[in-house]
Amino acid sequence: MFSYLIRKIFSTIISILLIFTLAFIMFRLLPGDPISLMFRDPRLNKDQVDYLMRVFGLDKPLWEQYFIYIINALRGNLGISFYYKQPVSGILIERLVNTLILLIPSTICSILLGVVTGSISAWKKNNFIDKFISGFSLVLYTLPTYWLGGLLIILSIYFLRLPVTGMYNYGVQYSGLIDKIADLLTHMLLPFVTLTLVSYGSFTMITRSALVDISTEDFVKASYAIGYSEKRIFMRVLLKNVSLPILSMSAIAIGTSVAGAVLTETVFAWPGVGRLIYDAVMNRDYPLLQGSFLIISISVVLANTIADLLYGILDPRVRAGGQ
Amino acid sequence: MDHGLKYMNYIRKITIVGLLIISLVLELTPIVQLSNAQQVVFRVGWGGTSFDTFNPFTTYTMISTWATLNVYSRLVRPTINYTSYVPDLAESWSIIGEDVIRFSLVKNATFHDGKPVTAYDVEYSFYLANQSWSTRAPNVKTIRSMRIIDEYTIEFNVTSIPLFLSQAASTITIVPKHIWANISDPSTYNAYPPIGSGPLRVVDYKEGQYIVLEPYSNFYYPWMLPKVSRIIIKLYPDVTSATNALLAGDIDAVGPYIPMALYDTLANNPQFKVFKSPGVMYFYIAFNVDPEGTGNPTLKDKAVRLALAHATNVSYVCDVAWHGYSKPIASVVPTSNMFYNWNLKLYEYNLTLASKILEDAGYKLGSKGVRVSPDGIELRYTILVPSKFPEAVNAAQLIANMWRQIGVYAEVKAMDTGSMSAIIWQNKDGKTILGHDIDLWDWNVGPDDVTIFDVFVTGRKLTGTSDSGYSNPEYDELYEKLFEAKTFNELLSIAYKLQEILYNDLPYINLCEVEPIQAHNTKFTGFNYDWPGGPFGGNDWTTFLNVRLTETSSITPQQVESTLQAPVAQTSDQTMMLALIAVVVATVAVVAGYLLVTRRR
Repeated sequence: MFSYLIRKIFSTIISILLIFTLAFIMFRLLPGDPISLMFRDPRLNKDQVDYLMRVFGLDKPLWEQYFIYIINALRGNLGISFYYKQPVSGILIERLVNTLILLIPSTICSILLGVVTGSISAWKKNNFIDKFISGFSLVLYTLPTYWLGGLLIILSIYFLRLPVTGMYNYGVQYSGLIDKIADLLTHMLLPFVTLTLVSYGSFTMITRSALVDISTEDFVKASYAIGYSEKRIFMRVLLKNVSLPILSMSAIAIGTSVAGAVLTETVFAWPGVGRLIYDAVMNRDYPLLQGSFLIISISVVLANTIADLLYGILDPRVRAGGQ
Repeated sequence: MDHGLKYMNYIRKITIVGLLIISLVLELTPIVQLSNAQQVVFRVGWGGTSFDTFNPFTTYTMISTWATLNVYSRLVRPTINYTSYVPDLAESWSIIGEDVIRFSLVKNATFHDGKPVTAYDVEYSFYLANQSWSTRAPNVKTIRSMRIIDEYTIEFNVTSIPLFLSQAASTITIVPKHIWANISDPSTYNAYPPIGSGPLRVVDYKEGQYIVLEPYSNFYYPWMLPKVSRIIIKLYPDVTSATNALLAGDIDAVGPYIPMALYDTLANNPQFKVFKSPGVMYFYIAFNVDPEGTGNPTLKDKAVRLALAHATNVSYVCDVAWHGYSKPIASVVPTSNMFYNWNLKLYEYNLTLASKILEDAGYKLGSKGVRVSPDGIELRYTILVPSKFPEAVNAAQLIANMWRQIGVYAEVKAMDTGSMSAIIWQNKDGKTILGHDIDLWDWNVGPDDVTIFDVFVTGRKLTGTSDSGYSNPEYDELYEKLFEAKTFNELLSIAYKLQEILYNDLPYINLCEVEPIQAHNTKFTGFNYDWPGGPFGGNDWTTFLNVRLTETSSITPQQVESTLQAPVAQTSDQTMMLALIAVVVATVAVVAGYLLVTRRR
């Protein structure tokens, strides 16, 4: 187990170092020069262009820019945003917190709901309940986020009267933290429902198909032969074995969900990382793009590493295979 | 079957708990709304370009300028037609001879930190504006020297008094020297919290989310103070989100414009006032006439550009592509600009004339139905257009169809502005050259802005501003004279001539000036719909000072002291909330897990 752990940690470090390099190269391949793009203004003169190039280090050769970036990144300095002229780490942390406030509950809810309904669907295979749940999940899975978000906004404007944009009623004086949380929850409801519904479908379908697949395995048949009750087989044999695909799916979902809320954040003007990335791409804000990419990639890598380690714990064959 | 029933029971319980949580959230909503009703808060939404910085010398965005229009003082303020000025920090001014203008400052002005505003602050602000990194450097080009007469009097020796008033005195923001002189690098200083001396002060700001402004009670002209107790500018990623927020009651007004798709919804709702204002944004077609450019060389022939101008039905394009909310223009500035040359008329839409011009210049129809130059080059072009403006893409398609009728083939390519820039401004052997044929793009030109004329000065392709590569020594020489005009009439005359040169040389075909449609909730009034760009378009400095509740509104005005928490405290609140949510989720998970395990046993 120890050597397995060391191997995983080592490969994670290698992945993160590769990500650092990729983040630098990738955004510089985007067409367009950040200075002329950000500041398309008749007032811009040659002196200003030269000055901005110098300040942001864009006048240096690419290899020099790369080493400066790596050294700074290793020191925890992600640079200064071209657009906002503020440290990238500060901007990112604030936005990341907003994203997590929305994403943690919705990801957990979609996983829990998906596992529950997926299990019911598999349990009631081929009957009406299964068909209903499968159909419903498939519809939700294929629904564009924009469409679902737009629908909820229309419903809210005409019926629900819930806030449709932002995180708070900015500028309101709250009598206490409870008031503020209540305000946050009302603003959060629509994006939360949207995010939960769009990712719920995939969890349901994966849980169902994994359960259906496993139910034909020999060890399940053996369990029946032993005389276990159907409930016991379902809870102790099937669900336990289906935990691996669900775990890997959840790890990917949690990792990518940091960036995966771009559309939802845009529709509901939720001030998270997703929207920040969108703006940064449009403005060719290299430091901000690099910082965002690093955070997202590291989240995915770490989530996968944790999932791999849990795999090792849940399934001894994984550890053995590694040796 | 028993187990199925049990599962159904679980589901039922989960549903009930879920519904209970939702109802709890809905029940809590009025608490928040009650707090909001305690004061008169005007909330305006801005969709599109993000706020960049509070530093008035490095900002490039309209929203950043608008949000701080009343935070920082200026020497004078323009009136609605931008041809006359009202006192701001300068209570009076006198012109001495042809080149000197002397300003007397108000004596009771203080910055938001309580320190007095003096002529030294004015001098230092103009010094900062003139630095090479400053976006305001072109505005102070007219200044030869400054002289402080006494603590409250400052004199400027300038090359052109009318241009100094419009470009510098009314635009350069006065910042506190005691703060800015201690900043090691003002070019990267984000100036938050901004300390100005205007009628509004910034009490809170969250990057990408909102800016909260409140009246500055020690403002030197108390009668100018806002009629509302708080103004909140909410920032949205696009105008659709901002307009949805207006419909949902999250905000009270929206700028810089509303999307056409939501026009009817708003216009048919008596709760909202929808209106059209004079435009400051216009679209044009730029031809690559760069002598070193690599686009189709036939565009360097003026006869071709003239023929294309006659083959473009600008009025039709404006009507169809912008659904009637734009008007055709004949010059490189919108009609709301004080320098617009009204003598210029649209090129007559005449396909016969256009064909004749091409025939006479030797461009004969080829076998494929496309005209060919005497050198054998086909009149085939690519029109680049920003995909973020669907109306502009539509306009480009319409124009391409019109040109096809005279044997000119144009392919429209819509893309993001980054990709457009990469095609237009190319680096070849260390030199910038233009690499495209034609682009259809926009400019925002303020009501008194002359810097747009700078775009056509030789060499401006180097800065990524000139997309035509136009170069004309006569134009360059005349442009410099603009900064030496002694009277407004002389200034106007030079600006008119510059426009005539461009009109005749045709580096651009000017298309449509977009008239912004904006909307606000009728519970607020006091807006000036005729201000160029509209009251929520980023130019009107009176919007936040004049906004007030309509008399029939049910909300009672009640001034209250600001109790907003500092930004640091807000961040810790966020962390607390995240922790709280995590604790709740973890508790639910643990309880659910426990129940599951105990039931299994």
